[in-house]
Amino acid sequence: MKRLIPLNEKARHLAQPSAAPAAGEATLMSNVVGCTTTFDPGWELDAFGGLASLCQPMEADLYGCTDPCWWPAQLADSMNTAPEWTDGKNSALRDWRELQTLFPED
Amino acid sequence: MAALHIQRQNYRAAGAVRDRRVLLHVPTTSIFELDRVADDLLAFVESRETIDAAMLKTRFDGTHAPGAVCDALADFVALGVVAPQPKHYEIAPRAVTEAPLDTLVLTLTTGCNLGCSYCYREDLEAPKAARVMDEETARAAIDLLLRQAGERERVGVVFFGGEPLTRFASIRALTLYATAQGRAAGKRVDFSLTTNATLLDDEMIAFFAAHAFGIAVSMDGDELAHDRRRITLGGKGTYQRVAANVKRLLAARMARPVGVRVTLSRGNTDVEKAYRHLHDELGFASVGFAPVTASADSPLALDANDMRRMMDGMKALGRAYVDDAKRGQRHGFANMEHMLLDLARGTRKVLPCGAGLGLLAAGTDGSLSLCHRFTGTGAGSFGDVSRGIDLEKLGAFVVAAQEPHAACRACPARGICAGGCYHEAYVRTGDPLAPTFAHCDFVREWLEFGLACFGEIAIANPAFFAMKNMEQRQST
Repeated sequence: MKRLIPLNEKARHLAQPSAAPAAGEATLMSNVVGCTTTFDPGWELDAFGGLASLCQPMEADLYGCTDPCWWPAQLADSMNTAPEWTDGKNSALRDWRELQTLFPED
Repeated sequence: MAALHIQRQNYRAAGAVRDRRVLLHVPTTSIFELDRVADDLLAFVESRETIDAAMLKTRFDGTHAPGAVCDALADFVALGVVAPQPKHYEIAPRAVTEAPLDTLVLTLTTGCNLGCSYCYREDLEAPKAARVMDEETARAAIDLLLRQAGERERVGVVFFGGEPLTRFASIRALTLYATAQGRAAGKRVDFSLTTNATLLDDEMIAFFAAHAFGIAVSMDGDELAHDRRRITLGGKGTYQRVAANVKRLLAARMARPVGVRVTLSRGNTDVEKAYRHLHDELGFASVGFAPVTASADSPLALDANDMRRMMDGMKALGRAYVDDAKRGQRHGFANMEHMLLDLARGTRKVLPCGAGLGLLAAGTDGSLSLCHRFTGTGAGSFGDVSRGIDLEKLGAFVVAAQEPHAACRACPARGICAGGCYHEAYVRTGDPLAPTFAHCDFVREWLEFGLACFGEIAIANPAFFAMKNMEQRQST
């Protein structure tokens, strides 16, 4: 409706339906929103029951679970208490052994 | 562009808010405000009945932008307000395969202590000669209601008569029974009754307050108006007694606001005066009006002049309602409130009321009728409180009722009126499904008035029709 202005609920429904697309459009995510979209393999196994053929090294999880989607029981909170935890240790493949255990301060 | 024809059966335009009309889309009860271009275009189509591109160009070149006129035309085509061929939106009758109930009216007695000269009841008797509903039948009726309620969490019991307060002991026992049975079934039972208030005493008032009764009192206005028809069996006026009782009722802390219903009859059509007395002076929360149910040749029936006076009075009262609504205040004119609620919700009725569809009435002998007005008439029954609802017969009636009368198919009020009261039609024609043609012009005039008022309020104070405000008003 372009020249008729809805005044009751029914009219608003009648004027609206074409505004919403029938189905959501599928687009690639370019930013990280939530864990399922980061493609971290997690503590999973590859097709052969091993870790060798995962699409990322499993150590990527150490980074994935501290930054884009924090898994609080296991990993450092890079948003609040330990923002520098991965600084200078940016490659999961090369640097993961450098990540240090954190202890709560009294 | 093919020639387009106006489709008057699909819309009604009324009012003049900001100098433009409000449009009711009849097939859906959607309401739109027309903008300048749309209103001009509609007026043009109405004046010509049929239009084509050349006519539009001649008329609107230099007045409105072609794109704007095209947009407005597209809107009207989308709504079926104009179309290349006659366009009808029919709603196919739906079959009735079950009959869930939410309200049951109990005719506790055919007896009444008054002898109002306009009473529609065919089976009315003096209290001593009355047939009454025995306790077993009444309990069976309540059991039926709870059984038929299905998933509904709330059901309603309405005590009716005759005068229900001649059977107060019965009301008390049944209220307690229904509450207990409802609790066992996990349902809340609401109670209401309509009374002439002559017998109302403090004990009753306390009981009704404690059980959150919805109470409607029948009164006709001030003493002069009231005592004209609402008289005792001996012929005396009842105003003094009723007014005294009503004052005590309204002073009590009732859980739900108390309404009054006025019957307009020959010589009593002053709607505004009755409202002033009943709302402003006596203090009723809401006041509803209905013309007396009587055949056209009855000396009590409203003639054309009476109907005119009634309609003018209702419109004047409706204007007062609009003024209050614009300021966000509640006005007690019930007829207006109901119509505006229907318009705000976009109610599209295929049946005139809930009778037979959620609501049934049990007569004193337990036989089931469409509504309280049909108990004790020769219109036939739809089952019995102990044997249950005659689904086949009721289903056939409800399906037949959905089929609009030929005269209703093109009526702009059909979505709100849907043929009118079954009982009114039954009294006038013997057929509950015949439209009450005598009222049609007034129904359309009233709807058109309501539409204009709705537009005025919706534009000036949209919050008045916000869902939560409407629900709040309706629950009261």
